Amino acid sequence: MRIPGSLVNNTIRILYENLHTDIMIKLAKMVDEDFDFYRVSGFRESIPINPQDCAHVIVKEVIRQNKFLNLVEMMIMINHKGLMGRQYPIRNLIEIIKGLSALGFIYDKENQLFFEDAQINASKNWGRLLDDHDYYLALLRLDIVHNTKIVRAHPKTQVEQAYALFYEMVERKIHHRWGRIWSWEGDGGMAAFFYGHRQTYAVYSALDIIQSLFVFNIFKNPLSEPIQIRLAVHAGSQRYSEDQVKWKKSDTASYVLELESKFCAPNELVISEAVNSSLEKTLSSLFKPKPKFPGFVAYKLGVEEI
Amino acid sequence: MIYCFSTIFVKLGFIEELMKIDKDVSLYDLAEFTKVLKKIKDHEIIYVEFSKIPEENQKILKSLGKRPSKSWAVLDPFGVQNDPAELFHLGAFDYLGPQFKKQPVQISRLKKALLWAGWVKSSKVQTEKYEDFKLTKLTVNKEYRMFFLLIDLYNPDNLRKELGEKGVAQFRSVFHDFLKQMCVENGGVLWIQQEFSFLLVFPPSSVENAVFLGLKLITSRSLFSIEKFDLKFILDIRASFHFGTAPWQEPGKTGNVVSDSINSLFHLGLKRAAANTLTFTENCLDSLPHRIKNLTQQIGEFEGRKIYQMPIFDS
Repeated sequence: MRIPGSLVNNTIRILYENLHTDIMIKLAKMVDEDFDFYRVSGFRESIPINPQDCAHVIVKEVIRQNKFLNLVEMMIMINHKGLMGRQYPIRNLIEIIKGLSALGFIYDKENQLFFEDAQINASKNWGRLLDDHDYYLALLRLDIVHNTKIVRAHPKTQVEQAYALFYEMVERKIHHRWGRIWSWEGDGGMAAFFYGHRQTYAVYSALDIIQSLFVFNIFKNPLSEPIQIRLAVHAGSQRYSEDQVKWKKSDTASYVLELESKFCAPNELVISEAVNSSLEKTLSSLFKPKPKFPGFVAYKLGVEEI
Repeated sequence: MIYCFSTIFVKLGFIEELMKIDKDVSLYDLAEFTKVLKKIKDHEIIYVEFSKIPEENQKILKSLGKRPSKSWAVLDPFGVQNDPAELFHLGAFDYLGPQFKKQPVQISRLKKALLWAGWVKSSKVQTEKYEDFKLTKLTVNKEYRMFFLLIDLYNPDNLRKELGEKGVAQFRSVFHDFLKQMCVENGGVLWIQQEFSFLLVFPPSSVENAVFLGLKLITSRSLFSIEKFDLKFILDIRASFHFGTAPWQEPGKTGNVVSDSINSLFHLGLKRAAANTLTFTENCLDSLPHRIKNLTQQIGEFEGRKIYQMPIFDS
């Protein structure tokens, strides 16, 4: 992530204008617990630290570590809550937030984290997740039922058009809740949720997709038969990697794939116990136990005969 | 169609005056009342004359009382009805007493009452073409053929219970704005609001958008209830459609709009339509998207029109 010079300079200035050197160093340690000012700066410990130099060293180092957003998040936190019982109001902090906003980052108050604005940029890691690091994520698995049959029964261009329209709908509903599509193979894919209440947002997206499917099939689907889908949502510790083969090996990803393929009927959304137990009561009440699979709950968009 | 059961008023030029308003008037003798009444559709108008025999008049009133409100009027050449206001309480839309034996009834007088009753000229309904228009360029008081969608919140008691009266008022306002936005996105206008019912209008070219909006609202109502409105229960919604006519007025200034289409759609939407599905009058059928039409089924008649319904959607 490239930080413009003006934003770097502003951050340095705002830091030394508002915080003493010892607080600045504590702040840097909150971002990186191994942070050692003297090692990074090369200054001797016997020489008093100039506030400007201190701010400069810290900002440059967090940028080098790709942790600039973490630093600003910590500044926002101590501005609101203080540090070790003392208040540290940071004047002009809004200038940094505006600078990040211009780069396409939005602040998520619930998790106190910045994330990418999907309308500007929608990278798989939200511009934040680091390769080979574990995060607590919610995953949504989607599969188009009888894909092979559909492909064989319809002209290629028609299938491509139908799937493109379907993907567009799915992507819109996922981005709307701050999720990201991690993989898409034509007949389905996987999406991840990290911001907001991630389990709830994954379930909202899945419900939105399945509830819109009926309308999609009537008004948008160019195929002569309705598209059917299977959906599953699970949450847990998940390794992030640019490499699809790597992240798919995680337990969370494996489990959500298993949920979808083994326990989910067409036009059904199955959620794991880990997800269900985190949902608010009204949302959870939409999911009913699956008689054939004790312990699993599912939502199905049903129609009653007149 | 207007049905008139009279022997005295007919001799006073009443029918001639009535036919100046609507040529489609049928005249019957009072003796045929019970037999003919069975054939009269709910949206059609009846004028019936009282005789000097109170028991007969009571029988007539009993039958008329079962009809939709404002679909019948009483002619009383002998002044046997002591309390004419009572007739209005029973559902009459007009009362013409013995004074009209001396001076003929004026056409403007008849028309005023008929319009109040929501009457629409029979020929107009059948022959007018589907003229398309833009909702931003409508002329006030001009009659347009429009596609109506009535959205009704079926369980207001749940709302009151959960939110309290103040909260309900706030919710209604939020729901109003939400519908208004959906309406704008789909080329329609949220025209009239009554309590928990919202009348949306669309030009004939936007029928598909109107159906899309109604279906989206019904199929996604659980998500809307929880995510958008933060409710602790799922809204039950009725969506009723009708293709009809109404004189245009700006939203918010619709208090004096008189339209049989609107009246009958409100009757259908609030008395007959099922929750969590889409209900259509026969007038809509030819304009519906093919895939929607295939999913509808006739469920009977209401106020003289065949009614069609889609399957009911679970939450």
